[in-house]
Formats: sequence, structure tokens, C-alpha cells
Amino acid sequence: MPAPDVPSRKGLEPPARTTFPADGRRIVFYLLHDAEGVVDAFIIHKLSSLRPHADHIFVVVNGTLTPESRSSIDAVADTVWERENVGFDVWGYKEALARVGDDLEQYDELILMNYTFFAPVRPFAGLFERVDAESVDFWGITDHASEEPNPFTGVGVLHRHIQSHWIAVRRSMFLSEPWREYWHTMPMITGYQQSVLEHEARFTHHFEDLGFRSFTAFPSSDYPSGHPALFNGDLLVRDGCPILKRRPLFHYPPFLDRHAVIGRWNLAEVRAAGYPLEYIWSNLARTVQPRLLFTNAALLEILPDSGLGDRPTVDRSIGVLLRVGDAETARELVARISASGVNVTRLVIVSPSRTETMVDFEEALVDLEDLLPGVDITLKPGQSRDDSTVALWREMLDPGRFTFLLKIDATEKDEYLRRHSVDNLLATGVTLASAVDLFRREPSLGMLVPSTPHTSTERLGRGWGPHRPAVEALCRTLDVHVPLDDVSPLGPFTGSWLGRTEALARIRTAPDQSQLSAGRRAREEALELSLVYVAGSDGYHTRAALTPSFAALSHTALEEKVDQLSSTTPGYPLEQIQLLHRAGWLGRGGVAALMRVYLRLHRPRLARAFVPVNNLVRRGVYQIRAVRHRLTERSPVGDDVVLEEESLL
Amino acid sequence: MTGRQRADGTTGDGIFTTIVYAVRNERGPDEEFVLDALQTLRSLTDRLVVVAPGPPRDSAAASIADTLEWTSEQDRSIGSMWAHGISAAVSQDEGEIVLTGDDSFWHSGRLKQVSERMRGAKGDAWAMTERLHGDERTVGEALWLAIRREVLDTAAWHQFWRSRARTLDGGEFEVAFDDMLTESSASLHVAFPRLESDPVAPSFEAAHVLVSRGAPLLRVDLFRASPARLDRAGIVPRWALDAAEAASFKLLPILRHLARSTAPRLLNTNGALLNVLAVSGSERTRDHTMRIAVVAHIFYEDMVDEIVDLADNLPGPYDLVITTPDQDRARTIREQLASRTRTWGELDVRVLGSNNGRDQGAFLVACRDLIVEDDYDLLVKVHSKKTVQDGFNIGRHFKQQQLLNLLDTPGYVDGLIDMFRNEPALGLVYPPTIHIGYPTMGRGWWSNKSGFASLAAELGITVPLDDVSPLAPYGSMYIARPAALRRMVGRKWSFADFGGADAYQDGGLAHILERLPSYSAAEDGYYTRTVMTADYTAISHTSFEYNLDQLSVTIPGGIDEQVSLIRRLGFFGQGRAADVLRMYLRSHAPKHAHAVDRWETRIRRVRSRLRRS
Repeated sequence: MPAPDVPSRKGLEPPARTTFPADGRRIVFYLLHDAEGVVDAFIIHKLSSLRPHADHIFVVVNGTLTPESRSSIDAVADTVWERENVGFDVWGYKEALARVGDDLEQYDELILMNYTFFAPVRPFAGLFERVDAESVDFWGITDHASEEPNPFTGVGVLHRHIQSHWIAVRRSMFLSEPWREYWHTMPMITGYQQSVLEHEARFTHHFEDLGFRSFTAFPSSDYPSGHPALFNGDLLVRDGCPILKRRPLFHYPPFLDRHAVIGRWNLAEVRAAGYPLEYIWSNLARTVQPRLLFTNAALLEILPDSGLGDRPTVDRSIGVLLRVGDAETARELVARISASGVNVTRLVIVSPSRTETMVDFEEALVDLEDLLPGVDITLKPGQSRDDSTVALWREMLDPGRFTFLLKIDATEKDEYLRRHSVDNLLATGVTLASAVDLFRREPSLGMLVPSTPHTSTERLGRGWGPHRPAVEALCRTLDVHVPLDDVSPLGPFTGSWLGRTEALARIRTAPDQSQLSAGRRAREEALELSLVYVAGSDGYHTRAALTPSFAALSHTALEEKVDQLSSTTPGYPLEQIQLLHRAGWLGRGGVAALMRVYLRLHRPRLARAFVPVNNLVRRGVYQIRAVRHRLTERSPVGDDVVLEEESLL
Repeated sequence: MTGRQRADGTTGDGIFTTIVYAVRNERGPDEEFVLDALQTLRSLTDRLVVVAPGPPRDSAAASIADTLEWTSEQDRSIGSMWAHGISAAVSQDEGEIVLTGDDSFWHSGRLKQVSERMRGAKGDAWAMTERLHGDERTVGEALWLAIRREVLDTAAWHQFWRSRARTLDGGEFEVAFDDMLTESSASLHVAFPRLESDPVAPSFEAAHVLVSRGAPLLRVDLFRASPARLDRAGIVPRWALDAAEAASFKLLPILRHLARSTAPRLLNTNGALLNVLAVSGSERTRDHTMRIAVVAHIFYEDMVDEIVDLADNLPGPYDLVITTPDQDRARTIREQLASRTRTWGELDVRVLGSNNGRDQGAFLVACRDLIVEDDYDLLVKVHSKKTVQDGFNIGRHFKQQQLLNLLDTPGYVDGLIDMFRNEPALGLVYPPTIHIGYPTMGRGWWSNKSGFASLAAELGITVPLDDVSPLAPYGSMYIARPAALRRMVGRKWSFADFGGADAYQDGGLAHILERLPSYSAAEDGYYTRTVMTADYTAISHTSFEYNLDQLSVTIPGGIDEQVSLIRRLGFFGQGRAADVLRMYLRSHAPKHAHAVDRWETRIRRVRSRLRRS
């Protein structure tokens, strides 16, 4: 079926260019796409804030919405049209314009707008007041400076263009023949780059060439970069710009690092401007890889390990699950919890140690009730390591019983990892009190984990270990669609975490852990790694914590490691990383590995020819590893080196 | 204590008859920690023999020891040095002798206690610590070995020192020594035995645990070990320092020695000498009596308010010394200051007549008096940094990284000044190496290392230079004690030294001097700490974490293996054929790696000739 067209204006003079009249009418076309069909709170907030400035809000959904989302957006829009997700945003606009057809004549201005930004970070009113007074044919909020050669094609010019997340057009233009012609001849769009080249990068230049006059509220010429929406978000906000792009918060971190785009500072500016960051967190937690968001927003919290701290009175109830090696540790940790002043209502202590009998353990811990008067305490010594604990914390993630669940694992044999696991949430009572207070201040915080350990372990670089397939399967079962992190996830690697039960409760509906096809220890790790994604799926984000002492250890170690590992590759971290990734697995640096590096970098076609062979060998290696892993229940991470080295050439 | 007849006829009342103390540190026997140790040992022994490498020279150690023996400079193996001491001083009628040295820092009180305790212990010999050798055998560590008469009379003992011992060091010595004891049927006791739950070598791998059990020693090599190796094994030297502090080891000489003898970045890493000051409150916590001068080089007058606003976070009135290139700027600056409420004590605007050397020249030439004299406890060196050439975001971030991590809030600055109050050997404090927006990691020296080495030599700096990147205040803002900077002005700098554009090129004077402060301070026993706000720690740490995750994904093994592979392969270039060949040769046939360079040059020459013709 041919798509309906924007009505023809042939032979008709378009209206003259004017300012936006005081009693002018405005229609907003709001394009929306969400892989899950969810309309986040930020969109509802944005559309209701636009309401005073728009006579009609026409929401075009590329795809379908869930019933709840549909009804929530129906409440703030005049029209909601769910269409098949074809032709990208460009065809969404084209077809929506056609649907409105001749009715457009009632309006003085239309705005083509999409969901790729948060607003109003600063009031819309200020913006409209300013642009309404401009006598122009079309206008936008931000633009991208011209660039030569065109970075998309490598040749020609990328003209200065108003960015397509907000293009407003007055009747002098949308009732003109060139406007009809533009949409009439718009080809079907099948890719992101095509949509940029056919529409976003073309629109401004095309209409200016035809004599239409444009205006940009916050032009790149006023900013120190050609792309202020990406690079100068904070300056825009300071200048009163109502929008904040999503992209700087989900773009590749080494790129942002290269250009010193400091997401944390930008967000501080946004918060200071009065925009609730919850709108940002809840959207990004659901749609962005957790480690990516963690990095771009620098969601690392330094929690105090000494002094008085704030000692907030948090009356919401906390369940505590301690896994300890011995009674002495248990008593020490309970003393810290008691000193924190948080409202513990239940305490379960699990000890895998088989040397202590129930009686000994109970005797050793007889004074716990003095430390935590009135708390329901259960001791479970001699528990086998894993499934029982999983069952316990899954059961305790009950929002009806607790607001928060604190799980501390102090059983790691390696002292560094054990202290990392315990101290970064519970070095002292003050540490825990501050952690709980953070949840009070950040209503969309779902989980707080000790920062990913990288000393005495090989987590960074291979944080998934063998668990990715299991987490993927779990997420599928739980209807969790948060994108999984590429290299290492952000997770409670040490088995300790503080979580908001409401954010994590969905994990309780996961199939019985015994059905997961891994070893017992691996099952718990996989379940705990999936918690971050479960929280994200309901719009709760995850942060990591370090005490000042561990921050000193961790940061000096990171500095040294990065210094050493980047000492032989040229360029910025961005380029170094890209080079190493293109070069591929370094193996032991033998003939085969180096040949492969050369081929991958400089003879990619030849290298690709080897891929099937490589894959075959790899699959074999993976099978062997999986079997071995099941047999030993040990993480095979780190010893996969030798096997893969010889797998090519 | 029972008196005993000594070889020279006098009566001694020490616990031991002879202690042989080997000096193996590069700085020789006059290091403060060595002299301290000798004083302690003096009280424990009738005869104190010190063995030090190098030609005979004057030494304060001579006045403490009975004998100061000088040995060949080259041979510093522990076996050889102890053998030397034994042959020089040990006679027939010994009671109990001790072999020890400066491989450890010793806690005086604890050493006396443990010597008393072990006096009553059975056994023919005793070691302070032991380590596991192989699966079942433990050997005494060559840190403190006490040997009693029963052993001294055996043939095995004499044989051991005559032959094998002289060539052995470290672990090999320990095993051979243990063999000797077995041969002479001697039993070895250990003052701090290794427990079953301990790692292989507790004195190295769990030093803090050993110290908390009362051990009197802290191994020096712990702080010099390869960070990658320590990291892989989860060994945290910082905990050993903390434990030593809690056990009231005399930290000052330890830190001074570590500063003088360890490459500064290595020490910064192994000692985790970074303070994340989480106090960010705007409330001032206490009064300070430090005399502080803010030394600000102002080229961009529009930054006066920004800089003075931050300086006002300092406790109490500070003196403000402003340097600026010319009278026009000086006038504008004075006007701007006049419109502010005065928060400073003395104001001194120094007009330089030159912007050569920028903030470096201004500081080292025009503020030399502040560094040389003792009018101030601390100098806060800042400047109107814009870094316009690197773009807005990068320049602004660099400026904030410098200024905020030094002067963020009154509470933060209080915490920072407290560090200086509590740590007399703390010389400099500045933010960690800038890495966001700059490709500094992996190449912090750029091409300044050889120029740096010559200037260091000229200024008498023998502190080891760091391997990959120096520990330096990139951006040139720091807080320092004048005494820690004094050596830098040992040469009298003039603006002419900084003349011309050359000074700013890589390898030029400005870049060399930018890297100098921590090394210069270290030579005089002052160490450096880096410092960050909690806010900036989050930014820097998350960036590093992500980059490390991405960098290491294709390199197998643990961090020690990763580093060793990367370093062995060497420069990656763009992974072209010649690069790859060079990497292969460097790691498998290092001798031939240079041949590739030669061939590459030849091929390039031929190619360009062909192209020309």
C-alpha cells in the first residue's frame, strides 16, 4: 500500500514569513521508539510540560506500546498512533504529517521532535518566548556545525544543520510546495546513517537554499565545539537550554574521555537547574548497559569509614544476611551493624564452616541480642556454601517485609577480596549508615555494590567469567531486556550488596536455582550478576561504593595497570583500545598470535577467511571448558589462553 | 644478665656476643633508619660488626659499631657480606651471634622484647621469621638469624662460610643455611613461626599480619616489588605501613628512606600514597597555625577571582604572592583585588618583565626567596591555567582537576593541611596524573627522560627514576614545604634559561622541570602524596576502570602476565608487518630486533629513492 502523502500545495502561494502570533496554534509531532514498548516517566513529564505550549500533541510510535504505557501516554497526548517500525524517525514524521493532512492549516507552527533528549531541564517558556519573536520559516534548538569532509561519507561537505531532535516549522514553510516535495521524494530509510544523510544533515541546507530562513536557539557558533549537544551539555543548560541529550550518557566512554565530556559534572548542572535526575536514571537504567551508564555518569560513591558521618535515622526496615567463616567475624560485623543505627528487623547468619557445631556457634554468639535488641535472629552454621544462601536472600527480597536487604559475604579466603567485600559497605557503622542514606536520597537507586575488585582477581577484562550465557537465559525468563555489558558487567562480584527489595523482587520469580545448568557456586554468581539487570529493568540503577582507604588502593593500582598496559600502543586510550580490539587476542605473543594480529589489522579479508576454522576450534574449546567447569566448579577464567592461542593458522 | 668474658678481655653484658649487620641499601650506612637500628642492636650485643659495601669513608655508623667493615661494592649478596663480617670479627669463644641487616626496618622496643623472650628458648639457632620452601619444608629467613655456640663449633658451620655461603643470596642462601643446620644436627626455632593459615612467606605476603602478631620487622623490599606481582597476589604493602604505624614503629626514618631509595611513582603505587579526602563540608573544622603563602602566576587576569576564591578556602589569613609578566596586568590584578574583601595577610604583586618559563620561571626565578627561606611552612603553587590549545572541555577539565583537588572547600583544605601537620616527611601534595582528555598514561616521560636524568645528576638527585611514567604534578599546581623544593633551586635559574620556544617543546626545560619536584624532594627525604576529592575520585576511577576493562580484554592472564607480555612485545606501532616482526623478535630473539629497524630504514630509503626517480 503506497504511503499517504503530504497534501499538495501546487499553485498556491505559501503564507508570508512571520513571528509566532500571540494567539498562535502549535502542533507537536513526538516520535517515540522503545524496544520494549515502554513509555518512561521522563516522556510523560516532557509532554505534560509541553502542554501549555502545544495545542495538539501527536505521538508517533515506531512500534507498539504496552497497555500501561499506552494509557499513560494517552493521558498527556491528543493523538497516539502506533505504526509499524519502518523507515526510522523520518518515515514516522512523513506518515504522521500525511495523516494530519489538510488539518495542518489550522496551525501556525509544527514541531518535529523525538525522544532522544530529556526536558525541560530549563523551562520551555524561556525558549518559546525567545523564538516566538523571531520572524523565521523554521527553527531548532541546537545545530551541528559544518564539517569537511563529511564524516559519514568521507567526501564532500556535511553542512551546518539543525539537529533533528527538535525542528520547528512555521506555516510559511509547511504550507509550501518545497515542503510537500521534500517529503514526497523522501526515500524509504533503512539505516541510521541513511536517516542522517537523507534528512537530518540535509534538511537545513536544503530549505535555506530555497530561500527559507532558519533560526537556532543555541547555535554551535556560540559554543566551543561544533556539536554542543554532545560536547557542551552543561553550557547549554547554564544558558537556559531546556534539553539534555541522552547520547552523552550512553556514548562509548573512551570517546567521551578523549574529549573530556564529564557526565557527572553535566548532571550536577542539570540537578542544580532543578530537573529531577530520577527521570534520567529510570530511563537509562532500563536501556543502557549498566557499566556504560556507571562510567559515563561516574556513579562511584565514596563512603566514609571513619568519623561520625551523617548518621541519619532511617526508619525503613532492613533485612541482613551475613555469610561468615566463623563466629568471631559474625560478632564483629554485627557490632558494626549495631553501631550504624539503621533499623535492622531481621538478621540471618550463615556459616559454611563445618567445624563449628550449632551449639558452639550459638554459644559464641550469645550476646548478639544485646547488640541488636528486639531483632529476629537466625543462625545457620554448617550450611553448604551456595544454594541455601541463594534461597535465603531470594526469600528475603520481599518488599512486604523489608525495604532494603544487606547481604555481606565475608567467607572469601583471600584477605584482599574479603576485606574489599566487607569494608566497602560495612567498614564501620558509618559506612553502612551512609550507604542506606544514599538510598534515601536517590529514590531510583536499586543496588549498591562494592566497586569491581581488580586486585587479587582478574575481573577487569573478563568480568563475566563463564556466567554470561546463564545471565542471558535468566534475563530472558524474567522478561528483562536491559542490554548486557560487552566486556565486564557491573555486579556484586564479591557476594556483598545492599539492595532495595522493591527493585530486585522480580528475581524471586526466577526458576528454582537448581534448574540452572551450572555448578552451585556458579549458580549463585550468575543469579547475583543478574540482579543489576533485574533492577535496571524496573528503572532502578546500580552504583558502586569504595571507602577512602580502598579508593586509595584501587586508584593507585588502576593508574599503574593502565600506565603499564598502555605503554606500547600509540595515541589516546580510545585509539589504543580500538587498535588492541582490532588486533584481537594476543595469546602468548607467539608466531600464530602475531600473524593473526597482522592479518586482522592489515589483511582483514584473509583473516575473515580463517574465521570458520577458528570458530570450530573455539566451540570445541568452549565445550571442553564447560565440562571441566562443571566438574571442578571453578571459574575457568584466565586459563583459556593456551587453548585459544593455537586455534588459528 | 650474666657477664661474659669477651675476646678482647672486657666483659660484655649483651644478650648476644656479636651481631653482624649487613648494610645493603644503596644509600649506605648513614641512613637514619640504619643508625637507629645500630643504636638498638648496640644495646643487645657485646660486639657490633657492620659490613657495608664501598671504599672506606667517614661514617656515623663507625661511632656506634665496634667494627665497620667495607666490602667490594659489587658483591652485595647477603652470604658474601655476612661471611665478611664473620671472618672479620667472630672468634672462638662466641656465645650467640646474630646475622641481620638493613633489609628490614626494625622496631626497637619489640626487637629487645623478642630477643629477651628467645633467650630462654631452646634450640641451637633461631630465626625471626620463616617461609615455606617447597611443600613441606620451612626455612628461616635471611633477615635475622641467631646462632648459638653449639653450631659455631661444628665443621659444617665453618665449611659453609668458607665455601658456598659467599656466593648465595636471598632464597638460595636460606635453603643452604638450613641445610648447614641440618648437617650440624642443629635445631632451629622461629620467633614468629608461620601458621598453617599463612601464605608461603608471611614476612612478605602478610607483613601486616606478622606485625600485628608483634613481629619487630618490616621488609624494605615489599615497597619496591613489582606492583603487578603484588597486585596479582593480593599483597598490600599499604596495610603493612598502617600496621607498622599502629604498632608505633618509628615511621619517619622509614618513610624518609623509602622516599630516597624508591622511584616515586612506584612508592606512590605500592604505598597507595593517595588520599581521597571525603570531607567536603564547607565548615571549617579547626584552626591552623601553618604559615601559608599562595604563589599564583597570573597571565590571564580574568582568573584572579576564581583563584582567590579558592585560595580563601585556606585556613586563616595567608600571604598572597602574585607574579605576572607586565605592569598592565599587574595594575588590572591590583584593581580586581581592591574590589574584593581582603582575606589575605600580606599582598605582594611581582612584575616579572618576562613570561619566559611561564609559571615555572615565575616560581623558580622570581619566587626563589620563598623557597630558600623559611618564612612559610607551606607554599601553594597555582596559576591561571587555561590550556586554550587543547579545546574548551579538555582545558577546563584540566584546570578543575588541578584547582579543585587542591582547594575544593574549606573542609577539604583542612584535611589536606592536616596531612602536612601529621606527616613531617610529607613534602608535596598534588592531584594524580591527568589522564582524561590526554594520552599521558603509558608515556608520562614523553621524550624528557634523558634531559631529566642529566638535570637530576647536576642537582645531586640519585633517587631512582620511574620506568614508564614519572610521578609528577602535571599541570604544575601543588602544595609543598619549601624545604622539599629547595634542591630545585640549587641551580640559580634565570628567565634566559627558559627563553625561546624550545623550552616548551617536548624534551625542553619547562617539561623537564614540570616533572622534577617529587624527585628533588625525595632526594632530601620528602615523599609525595596525591590527593583527590570524592567527586573527582568517582570521575577518574570510573574512567580508569572502563579503560582497563577494555584494554585488557584481548590480553591473556593476570595483570602480571599481561604486563609482562605487553612489555616483552614492546612497541605495537600500527601492527604492520615490520611492527609484528619486531614484536616477535623482541620477545623471542631480542638480539635480532634491531636488525628489523635497520632493514626497515634501508627499505624505506630505497622506496623513497624509487619514488623520486
